[in-house]
Amino acid sequence: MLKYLKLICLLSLTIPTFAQDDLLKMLQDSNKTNKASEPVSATFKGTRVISAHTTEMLSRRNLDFRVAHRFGTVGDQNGYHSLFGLDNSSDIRIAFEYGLTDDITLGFSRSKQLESYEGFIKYRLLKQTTNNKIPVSLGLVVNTVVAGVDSRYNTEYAKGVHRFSYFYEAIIARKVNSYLSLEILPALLHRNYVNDPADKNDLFTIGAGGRLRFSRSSAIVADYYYVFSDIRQNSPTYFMPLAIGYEVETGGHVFSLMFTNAEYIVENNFLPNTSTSWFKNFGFRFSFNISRIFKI
Amino acid sequence: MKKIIFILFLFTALGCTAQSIYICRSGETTFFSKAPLEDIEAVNKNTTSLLNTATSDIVFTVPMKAFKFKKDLMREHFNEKYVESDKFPDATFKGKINEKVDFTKDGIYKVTATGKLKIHGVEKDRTEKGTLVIKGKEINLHTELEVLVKDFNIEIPQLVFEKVSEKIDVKLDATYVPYK
Repeated sequence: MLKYLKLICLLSLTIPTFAQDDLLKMLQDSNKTNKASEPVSATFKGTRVISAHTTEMLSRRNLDFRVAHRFGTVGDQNGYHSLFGLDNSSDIRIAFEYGLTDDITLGFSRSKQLESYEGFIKYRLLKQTTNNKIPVSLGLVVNTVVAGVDSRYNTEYAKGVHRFSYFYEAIIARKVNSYLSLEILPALLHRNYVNDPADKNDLFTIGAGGRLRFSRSSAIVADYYYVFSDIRQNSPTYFMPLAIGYEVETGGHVFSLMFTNAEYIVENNFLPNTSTSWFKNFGFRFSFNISRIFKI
Repeated sequence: MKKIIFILFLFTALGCTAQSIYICRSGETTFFSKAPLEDIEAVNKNTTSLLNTATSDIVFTVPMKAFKFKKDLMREHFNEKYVESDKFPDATFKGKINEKVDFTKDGIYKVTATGKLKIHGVEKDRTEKGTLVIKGKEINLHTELEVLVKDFNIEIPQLVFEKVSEKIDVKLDATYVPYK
């Protein structure tokens, strides 16, 4: 017994030298038990990977001014005369998007293709948490697009409602670690009017997107869509849209420079109509997205 | 009999530490940095601290992700780029108050504490000034310190529009109550 007492005396003598470490450890342990789980931040840098939405939202009262360009294919027949497609912009989208709350974003845009006016609402239902109690973030986006373009032939847009199309998408994203984030995007596109009788008004699609951060400010991003449509899968003039890009973030601005085979920017246009291939005649095109966020 | 002495001994030992330890669970740390475009300010209300009045040991933890900024984007940049909160979640200080303070006596005491300040995974020996206000069972501490970002290997990316100054002014307020 005396031995133990001696040991305890000895121990109590040694403790003071470690006291600060012990005290710090005691504090950190007490913090750990009190700590609520936190939502994961910055799964993606912006509200789009490239073409695809992400689960990132605009913070309340933040306004995002976005400009996106898709140029002509690199294999453009004019070669260097069009600076490998740079003179032939296939689509331009200008958008204002606004954070109504931290989990609801409203957007309005106009794109060159079919003079498309788009309104959308995006809602985030779930946020991935650091303790993995919620393993993924989940968002929903719904848009309505109206084509403003004049009818190109008699039967096109015979009725006003023919100009409308709607896109419904779920976004399931996970920040795997601080470098890698992934998402999948099941979606439905409904077009009130399709000009090919063999085509369907409803198209189911599934998308995938990812971001691989390799420095504090820059990342490689990619997204891909698969469209479930018989006439497209068997068509020599339809290809699934794939985009690969470089994303750099400079404090309030996000620039993405990328190559994609998609000609258009809004889902309602590029999902049904991507007609050039990555692997045929340099059918990919240079593109960029710019985002600037203002707090208002 | 010996066992009883042993147990008594243990109890007294435990009793001692419990009584001399004071805790602050929601201290406030603020920092301010002058920047040409817009001054950068952040508040952190989740600062925690323990103070052992018997040994004058004092420790702090400041969870980096709990800093709130005027703009959420600033918060994201702060965590992702500057202090890398995923890798280094807390700033800590562990040290000792140099002056002899009678914690049982009400009053205002100017004190200094010497110890190790750790931010962004980098540890530096520091001595900081502070003021202790003791009133009954409650102890208040106020301290102000200067942090040079380069001391803690915090790089400011070249491509940022929000240029941040090299010097950050930090203020910390903590209210301690007996630890239970």
